[in-house]
This record gives sequence, structure tokens and C-alpha cells, in this order.
Amino acid sequence: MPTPPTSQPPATLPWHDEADVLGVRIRVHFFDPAAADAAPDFVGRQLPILAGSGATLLAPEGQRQPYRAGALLAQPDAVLAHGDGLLCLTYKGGDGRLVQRALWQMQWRVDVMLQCIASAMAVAGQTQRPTAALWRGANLLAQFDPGVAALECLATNVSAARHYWRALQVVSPAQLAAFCEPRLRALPGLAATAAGIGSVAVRDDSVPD
Amino acid sequence: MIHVQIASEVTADGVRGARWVLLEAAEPPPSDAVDTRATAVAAPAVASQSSGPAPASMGRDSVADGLRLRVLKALVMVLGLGAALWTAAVQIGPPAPAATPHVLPVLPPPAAPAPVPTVPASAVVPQSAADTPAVPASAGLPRLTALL
Repeated sequence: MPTPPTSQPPATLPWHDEADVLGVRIRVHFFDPAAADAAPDFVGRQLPILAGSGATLLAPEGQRQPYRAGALLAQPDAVLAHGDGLLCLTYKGGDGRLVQRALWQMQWRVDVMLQCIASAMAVAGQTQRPTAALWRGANLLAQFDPGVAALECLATNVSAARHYWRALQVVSPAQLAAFCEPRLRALPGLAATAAGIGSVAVRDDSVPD
Repeated sequence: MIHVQIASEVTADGVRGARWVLLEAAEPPPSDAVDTRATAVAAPAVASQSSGPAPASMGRDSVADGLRLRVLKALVMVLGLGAALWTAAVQIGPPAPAATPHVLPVLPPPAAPAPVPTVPASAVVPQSAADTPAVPASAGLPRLTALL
């Protein structure tokens, strides 16, 4: 009797912490900035958690390609192919401050998070491939898992944001995020998570603060 | 509508757990396909210190909307003024015609006094001597009063 094929579960990544903020599950990975900057390739430098994986840049490093889905136009810092999906990475424009492990939720910027998700929506809409939204700070890599409420709020307010900002045809992720953030905060049940309440700590003490 | 898949999890091999959402399709663009100003705005201030993105400058649609709004405002004001004037005319009455220069009415010339009819002596009704006082000789003038 043939043995049924055993499917290997996908290798999980070593996230250090996660929390829910405004209906978005955030998984964070802390790393040593000096060690990351010393990596020879782009993935090792900007995505230390995926160092050695098969993720590849779709465009040369530094070139920001436009992606458009409907009236949403984004130019993410980097888009990588990873397996059957894509990774939409934002890493430019940060202030360079190190994030403390114990206080990362307090220092979290919701507008940055929503911009990353909106950029991923534009990439996914144009390429028609599942896309993950990630943000890389000075010593922290975050992956965003938006819930239904956050996704619907962003997706259904593109036209309204365009009219609000008086944009001719398209709206940027920053504009969409600024428009949607107060609406998300007003949704019942999400405001309590805006300050990082409800964190599910998955701590890994191997990385120093 | 545009189908959008956002992956909920990243693994060492790829992504998984896609969430579906629908995006509205874009309106048909005019001659120029991409708004370069919006593209410049999209250039990130993703993690910048600014309070928020600056809105894009007004396009042709916004200018037309502004003109349309001004016309509508003027129309509403004119209609309101007209309604107010009509209400005032109905309740108070139309305004008086323009006043002519003040001219005193011309009075007709005084009519010539009618001659007082003279009563002949024979027409005088005889009265008792006790009732009527002695009439002096100069009583030729007509008597203006009547004996009641």
C-alpha cells in the first residue's frame, strides 16, 4: 500500500514579536543593523529574516517601478519575487532611529503601516499575484497581515481619497493612508488596538535589544 | 473591479494565506494617462517627519467644479433675493410710485357770494306788538336772523 505523500509544513520565520494594531497583525523581527548592512546581497541587507532564501528583486536595486491598480498608484522601494508571491518592501525615508524591543508598539506609526499595505495592494492589483507588505526600519523588519476591516477600508476609500485630495486621476498610498487612518480608528473594536493593546508576545531573547 | 490578494504570512519558501479584496477600477483617463504630479506625491515620505502628504494641485476637473459651484451660488442668491422681494410685496404692498414735486392743489376761485334775497315789507308776517320790539326806522337792512 503506497504511503500517502507527506507535505512538509512551510518553514516559519523567526519572528520575535507580534501585535494587533487597528485590525492589522504585525510581526516584527529585530536584527543587528551593522550585521545586516554587511550582507553582500540586497535580501540579506534589507530582509535579514529571509537571508539565503530565493527572494529576488524584480527591478534593479534603487529603481522604483510604478504599480497601478485602479486609481491607486504606488512606487514601492522594492518588489521581490518570493515563491509564488511577491514581497512589497518599504525601507527608504526612515529617520534611522533604533526601535526598542520593549517599546516598539508605543513607537509604531500607523500611517507608515497603512502606506505599506496600500503599496502592496497596488502591486497585487497590477501583477495579480499574492503580495505581502513589509517595512524595514533601522533594526526592525515588520510584516503586515491586514484584517478584513483594514483591507476593506483601504479598498473602498480609494475614490473618496482621490476626491478628498483633489487628485486628477490617481491617489498615492500616503494619501490613501492619511484618509483612511481616522476612519479605521473610528471603527468599533479597532480603536482599542491602536495603542498596541492585545499583543501576543513571541519573544526570542537571542537578539539583544 | 480589480481582484487584489494580500498575503497574510511570509514563509521561507514564499507567501501564503492570501486575503482577497476588490478595488474599484479606474475611471477612463483623459489624453494623458498618468498624473505625474500624483506620482511625485507618491515618492515617499513614507517614514518622513512631515505631518502628512501635500494634496495634488487642482486639475481641470477641479477648476470646472469650482466654476460650477460659483454659478450655483449666484443662482441661489438671486432666487433667494427674488423670493424675499416677492414676499415683501405680498405682505406689505408694492412700493409707492415716485413722489411728484410738492404742488399745492389749486383751489377754485371763491364763488361770488349769492345775493341775499331781500324780503319785502309786505311779506313780513304781522306779529303782535308784544313779541316784536319796535323796529327802528333804520331797519331797512335785511334781517339776517330769523325769529324762532
